[in-house]
Order: sequence, then C-alpha cells, then structure tokens
Amino acid sequence: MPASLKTVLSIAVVVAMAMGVMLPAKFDVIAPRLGTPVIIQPGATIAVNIKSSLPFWQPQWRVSLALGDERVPLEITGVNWNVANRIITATVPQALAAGSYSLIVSDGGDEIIRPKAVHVVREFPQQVSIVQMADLPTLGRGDGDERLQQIIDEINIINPSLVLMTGDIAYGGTWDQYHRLLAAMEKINAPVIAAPGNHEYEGWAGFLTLLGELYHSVQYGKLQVISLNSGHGRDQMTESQYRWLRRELENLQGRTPLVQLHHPIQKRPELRGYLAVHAQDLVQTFKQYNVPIVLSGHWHGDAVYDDTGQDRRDTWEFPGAPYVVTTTAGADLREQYSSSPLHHGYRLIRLDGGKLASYTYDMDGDGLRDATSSIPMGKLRSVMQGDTAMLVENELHESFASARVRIRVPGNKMNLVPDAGRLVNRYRDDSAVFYEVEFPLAARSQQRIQLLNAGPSS
Amino acid sequence: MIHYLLLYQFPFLYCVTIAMGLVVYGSDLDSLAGNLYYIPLLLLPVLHGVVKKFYRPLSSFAAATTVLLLGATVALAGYQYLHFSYWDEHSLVQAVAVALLGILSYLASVIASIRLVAWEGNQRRASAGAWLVLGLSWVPAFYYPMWSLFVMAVILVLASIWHIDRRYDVDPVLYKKMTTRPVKYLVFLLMMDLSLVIWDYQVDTGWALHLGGAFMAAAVGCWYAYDAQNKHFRLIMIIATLNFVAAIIWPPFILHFLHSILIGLPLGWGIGYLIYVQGDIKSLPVVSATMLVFLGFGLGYLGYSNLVHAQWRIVFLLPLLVLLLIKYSWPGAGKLSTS
Repeated sequence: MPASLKTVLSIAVVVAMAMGVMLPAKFDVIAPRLGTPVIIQPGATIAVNIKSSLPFWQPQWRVSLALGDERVPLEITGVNWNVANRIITATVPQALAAGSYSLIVSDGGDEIIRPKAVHVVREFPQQVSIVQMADLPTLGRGDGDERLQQIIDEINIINPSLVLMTGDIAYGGTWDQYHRLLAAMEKINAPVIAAPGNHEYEGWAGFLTLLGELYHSVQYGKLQVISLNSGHGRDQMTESQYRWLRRELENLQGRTPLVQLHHPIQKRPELRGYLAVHAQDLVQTFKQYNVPIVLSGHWHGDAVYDDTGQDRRDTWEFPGAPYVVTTTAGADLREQYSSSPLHHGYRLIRLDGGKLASYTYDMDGDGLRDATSSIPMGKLRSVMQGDTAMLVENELHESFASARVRIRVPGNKMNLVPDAGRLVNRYRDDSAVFYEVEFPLAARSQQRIQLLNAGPSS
Repeated sequence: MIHYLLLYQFPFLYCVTIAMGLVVYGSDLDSLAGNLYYIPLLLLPVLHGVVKKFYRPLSSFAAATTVLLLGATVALAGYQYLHFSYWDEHSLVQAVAVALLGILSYLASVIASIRLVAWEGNQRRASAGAWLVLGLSWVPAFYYPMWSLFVMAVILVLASIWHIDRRYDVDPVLYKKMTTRPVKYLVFLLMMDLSLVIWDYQVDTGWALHLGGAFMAAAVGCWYAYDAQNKHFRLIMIIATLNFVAAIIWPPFILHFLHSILIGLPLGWGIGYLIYVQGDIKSLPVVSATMLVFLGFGLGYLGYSNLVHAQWRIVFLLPLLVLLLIKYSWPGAGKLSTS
C-alpha cells in the first residue's frame, strides 16, 4: 500500500473514530445540585457548571427554575469555559418568589433536572440557624430509613437557614443507599450542604455521580460554608485540597467562613498521613481567617476542642474557634471520645451577624448550655389532629423563633388561615392543599395550629 | 515509532488508566462489573504463560491484524461509555469492553515487542519519540480523564494501517547475563511516586498534566538510555532518590511540575534500559515492565492512602539501597553492549 494512501486512510479513520465517540453531543449539570446548592436573592446571577462531551459545542442553552408545575426561564448572560466545563451565567428575575427551586438545563433537546439546587430567599437574615449532622443511619437496613425520616421531620420543624451533612452520609456506600439518601435530602426544606466522609469511599463512584463535588464552597449571604473532604485515602487530606482551601479563604471578600470536614482535626494522635501533616497548618489557617467554628463528626459522640487542642468539657464559651465534634445522627454510638451523655442527634448552631452565638444544648435543663452536647433526637414531633389541625410537641430545652410545619389538607380548600403563627406558603397537588405555617415554639411546650375558614374559596 | 507506541500503550496507557480509574473513581466490588476492571491484570501472569508458548503465531499477519483492529474497536467502545462518565457505572458492557481491551492491549504490546527485536530502524529516535507522543497524549486527559482509551484505539488502528503488512522473522537478541533488579525496583519506585500526584488530585484532573510532563521528560531519559546505557546510572539513581526524599520532606513538592519531570527522566531511562538493553524476546520485558508499572501505581496508592505517617514513605527507599549495596560493582561499564 503506498504511503500517501496510508496517510489519507489514517486521517480518515482517526476523524471517523473521534466523531464516533463524541457524537451525539451530550451534557451533564455538575453544579449546583443537592448537596452543593446556590442560595441567592431575586435578581442575583447564578453560575451553572456544565460538562459537555464535545469541545466547542455551542447549542442553544436554556436554563430555568421550577417550583411545582411553575417554570421560570432565566436570562443567560454568558457562557464561559472553565477547564473542560462550561459555566453558564444566568440571572434570576427580581420578581421571583422565595422557595427551593429545581434547576432545569436544556440544550434545546435533552433536559437535565437538578431538584432543590437553587434556593431563593427574599433577604438573608442577621440571625442564622444551622443544623449540622454527621454519620447518618444506614439506609435500606433495619430502621435506618425511618430514623432518617425522623431527623428530617425534626429539622423541618426547627426550620433552620441551612442544613450541613458532615460526612458518612451513605454508610454502606451502595448506589441504592445514595438514591435513598437523595430522596430523603429532597424532603428537607432548607438548603442542604454535604461533605463526604470515609464511608463514602466505599461507594465512591456513586458519590461522584450522584452528589458530584468532593470539596466545595457555598455562599449564604455574608456566610461562606466551606466543605472539605477528609475521607481521602485512609482519613486524609491532600495538598491540592489544602491549596484550594487557601484560595477560598483568601477570596472571602468580607464573608464569614464556616468549615465542615468529617474528621476532627484537634485530637492529633488520631490523625493520619496528610491530614496529620496539615492539621497544625489548618488550625493556624482557620485562626488567620477568623473561622468562627469548625464542624466535624466521625467519632459518633459529642466533643469540643479549642484551637490549642484542649478538650473543652468545662465550658462552651472560650476564646478562639470551637472545633466541634457532633454525635451520630443514626449510626452506632461509641463511648471512646464522648464527653456528653451518648445519644443520637444533631447540632444546632446559631450565628448573629456572623458571630457565633451558640452551638451546644442544655441537656439537663438547668438553664445553662452544656459544654459539648448536641440536640438529642426524638424530642420534637408533630401530629395531625383531624384534617385541619396539627399539634407540635417540643420536649427540648430549646426554643425556636420560627418553627415551621406543613399541614396537608385533603381536597381543594384554599381559603384556610392558621389560628396561630403566620401562613408563609400555600400550594396544592392533585389530592390536597399544603399550608406552611411559621410560629414561635417555646422550650418544653406544645403548640396547636388550627386552620380556619377565612372566607370564600379561591 | 508506531512499534514503540504499541509497546508502551499497555503499561503506560492501559495500566495507568485502569489504576487511575480504580483509585480515583473506585469500583463497586460487590458487583460483577466492578470486579471486571482489574481481573485481566491479575490474570496477566497466566496470560503471559500462554502467550510465551504461542508468541510466534501472534506475529502472523492474520493474528496481528485481528488483535489490533479488535483492540481498537473495544477501546472505542470503552471510551464511548467513559469519556463522559465516571468510572464504574454498573454497566456490564462497559466493564467487559475495558477488560477485553486489557487482554488485547497486552497482546498488541507482545506483537510489538516481537517485531521490535527484528526491526532495523532508529530505535533510539523511535523510542524517545514514542515517549513524547505518549506524554502529549496524556495532556487532553485534563479535559477528558479517560481520553487515554481513545488514544489507545488510535494507536492500534494506526499500527494496523502502517505496519501490519510488514513481516519480520523473529530473531531474538542474545540474552545478556546481567542483573536489572535495581533498575526494575527504580521503575517500581518511580511509578509509586507518580501515583501520589493522582492520589492527591483525584477528580481534579490536574494529574493529567503531571503524567504528560513526566512522560515527555521520559523521552529525554530514554534518549540517554539508548545512547550511553549504564553511564548515567549513578546520576539517575541520585535524581530519583533526591526527588523521592524531597517529596517526603516538603509535601507540596508533589504538586510541583519539577517533581513530575524528575520522575519522568529516570523512568524513561529505566524503561529504555529494560527494554533495549534487556531486549530478550523470550523474557518478554513488556510484561515485567507492565507489572512494575501497575504494581508501583497500585501499591503506591495503597501505601500512601494507608500510611499513618506520610514520612514512612522513606521505607520504600530501603530495598533500592539494599539492591544497590548488593550489586555495588554493577553495572560494569562497557560490558553491557547491546550488539
């Protein structure tokens, strides 16, 4: 065969091969998504990170937000490259109502939907409450799914600004567990920010496919929630992640950084490899950038350390940032490091104007917050009474300024109003109308919300 | 050059891709598909035993064409699944394609090694050129992590178009009675060190540039291996050792491009030495080179991941020092000609 023919044949074959693997062009939405949402005010711009199979492919991108059946198209203001990915910037309309929206991206043909990826708030509050949990129950095994549902019900009553999941969120790491987890995360009303733990590495491909990002940063008004991946290898961290962290902290632009990472970093003998190498640097870095609190899990028991590495069982108020370890939300309890009574639970962190206001719970009800305790599960519940009333029982020594319930009223009654609290949302599906009511809930109290007729049905 | 690309594609494209896929993206070992990715590599010694008996027929026109074109097809099928996805997506078709590619890619390397023995072209230029192409081909993995499978398909197809109609009588070179243990361990150690970059970056594909840089630097190392053979042995050992120690003392060094380049130089030298100087077809150096690469990557990753104290990596240097002490007088200059 002559060389010229071979050359032509080679070029033709390679081009055909390239076209064969790259066409038809496909795309995937990397962020935002459940676990790494964006939280914005109306009129703000969001950046949608898209991976496409074909470089230089420029379809007619369409981005919209959806809440129930309603779809709101967003104005695309730019499409840029970021490594292999496209970054589509789109503006949210000024008139958009607050709520948790699904993000829908289309290339003109295919459509990808990311549930609860975009949260719109009218304004960012001065006082922010955050629920943090780690080491979730094992889904698909025993009563794991019921336990997680119970936590979610309690969180939805507390109605926090944010929910942080600090690793070991799908304990067995199977794809089935990730699917169950995502379904459960969708039921949480607040934005959920998830970090991986060591158990996620048992089903790493599942985590990457369904949750996406190893370490990330989510902005909430003047707060910046930085989620790190400390489950790398045998409970470690990496140089490249440390480099990324430094960049994020250098670009805060006045925002207050909160940090979550699965492994506690203040009990040094426990640390391994690169996490041990970086532990001291991390503490110094957090100190340098005034991180008010560092949240972890992993130990399945409560503990708090200060930035010198001292175990603080004496008081929750001390200079510097607390390094907080939160008990398990459903996995087995362990006594090894716990400095509180062992219980399943989650932590409620309150910030006021970016300053840490509280992060522990008054377990014995003596009016003083414990040094380390998180909130025990099972002491906050809601029970339907008839078709139009709900009783909320709070056995906790903790009050909530804006607790929230959702009352499902069968049928088509759209003209009801609550006898207590404030109606914040009302929508319906095929068989019922849903009323969301916000109200103050005092410590160790009950609150009954009755929906009453307000006038003619609309 | 296509011979060398064919020879290198198994250890430095297929094996590195598999190792990278397994360590970065993981696989579900509870599923059949999840296990298929690494089984061909575990069975490599068995396959090697079979191939050793039938390596002459493999060099025939029909066998070689079948292997190369089937390999290209399977590589494309595997890449079609993976160029846009994460590694193990519970697809049996995808896993079978990747596993089958492993066997075919290995056979393609064997065919190349058989033909290289009798090839009379400029080995030095071809080998160094192949490293350079290999290094460049890793760069697009920055955008598409599994790109290496597509590159493999291209190499297999081009090999079938350009060289399949040539025939070679197998004429093994004379077996050199010498030890290459320090060189082999050096290759193993370098691949361990290189795996640290992938271990660190994970799904951030910055590792692709480091792999590309290392393999391009290997072209330079390889060039000198062919030229001076053992003359640079001590220098190469010093470079590799200092690089290894520097990464332990100053961990951020693993993300420095100099680190990758200083891995590539001795790597190209070591592989060039193994394949060119130890060019005995009956020992099929491609297998030992491959196993060193894969074991280096795999064990390196496991080692780094599980070390309680990162500084313990220094222990991996000890076998090299022991081997050097045992073979203190090795290699005797001037005794290792390849003629």
